[in-house]
Amino acid sequence: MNDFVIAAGTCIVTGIITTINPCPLTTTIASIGFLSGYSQKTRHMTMVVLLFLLGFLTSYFVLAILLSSGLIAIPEVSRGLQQSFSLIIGPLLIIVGMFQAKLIKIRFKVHTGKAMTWIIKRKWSGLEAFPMGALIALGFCPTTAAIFFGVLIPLAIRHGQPLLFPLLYALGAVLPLAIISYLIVAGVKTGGNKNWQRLLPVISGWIMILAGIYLAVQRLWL
Amino acid sequence: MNYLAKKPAVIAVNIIRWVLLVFVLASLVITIYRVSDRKSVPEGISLFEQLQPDSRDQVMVVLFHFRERCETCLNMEQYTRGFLQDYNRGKGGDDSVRFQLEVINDNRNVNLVRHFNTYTSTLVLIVFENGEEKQVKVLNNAWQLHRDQEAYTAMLENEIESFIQQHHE
Repeated sequence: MNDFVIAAGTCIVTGIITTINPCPLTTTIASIGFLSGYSQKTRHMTMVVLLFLLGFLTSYFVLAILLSSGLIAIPEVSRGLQQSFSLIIGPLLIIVGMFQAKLIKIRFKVHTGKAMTWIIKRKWSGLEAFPMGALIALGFCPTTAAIFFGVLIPLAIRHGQPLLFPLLYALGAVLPLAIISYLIVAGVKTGGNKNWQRLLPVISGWIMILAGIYLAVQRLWL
Repeated sequence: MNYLAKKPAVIAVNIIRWVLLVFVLASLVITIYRVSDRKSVPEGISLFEQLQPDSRDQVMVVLFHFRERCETCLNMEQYTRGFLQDYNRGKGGDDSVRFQLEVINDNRNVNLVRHFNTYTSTLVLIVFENGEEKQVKVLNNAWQLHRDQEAYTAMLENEIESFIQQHHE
């Protein structure tokens, strides 16, 4: 029991360490930009944070299940993710940042059905937080790959916890992002300046664009 | 008048938008090229032929790292290089232990990654004897010491000494 509690605590701590590590700093900044961009309503932002967390969890859970069942091998996955998801994160951040900074707008002119119309009328933008979280989670850098494949996965396999341990790890990883995003939004709201509140999503979008350019140049162009 | 005043800003935004979209498109083309790049080593190539040591009898330290370099593997490279320089100097100046870097996410190294089970920055010690792989040790957890040069160097010295000693026994 004691061993289990220590292992569970280790998962949360390694999740936090993963996020505050300098190695994935650019994606961390981009994630904070993404989350703090939904600052119009606190309830809406909470929903976005939860969807982002769910994305993280889904990716880690799927990986943990595939690895613990022996369907795929750790070196293959680590190499494969570096070859694919790590490369695509830069361009993806630029596109999402452009939407957030209102450099791109999509006008729905086609008949989208009742459900979609309801979503658009309610101005419910934020569903993209789920795939965004899932992709950012898979964009491992060398240090996060070492922590995930070298510490978390062996721990989850040893304790037979392919769901709980990745969940705790995802919680730990998203926690610093959520706290910083809430603090930024709360700070801007407390200031009471309406212009800053209106500008925050645009600034967040530009932070994502710059992070995306940096990642694309570093991982693709150099 | 209002339109004319706004025009430069609109043009600037349009230019930024299109520059970014072209950059994204070009990046996606490079991504597709990288993902579909199937350059690989010939079937059945030996480890000796692939790593190409200086001589048929050689001790090697290979550092596997991702194409995207980060603090972890840069520190590991710096510490290992520094240690081996001193170590080789102490052994008479020649490269008795040779240092080499290999990229994990290079398709030409797929067989090495499988062979050594590397998933992140990893050190591998190899002894070649008469052109054949005689002894291998994979130091999977060396990355954990990447912030402590003293501990890293002590670990490496210990591992290399015991590795070479085992080989001589």
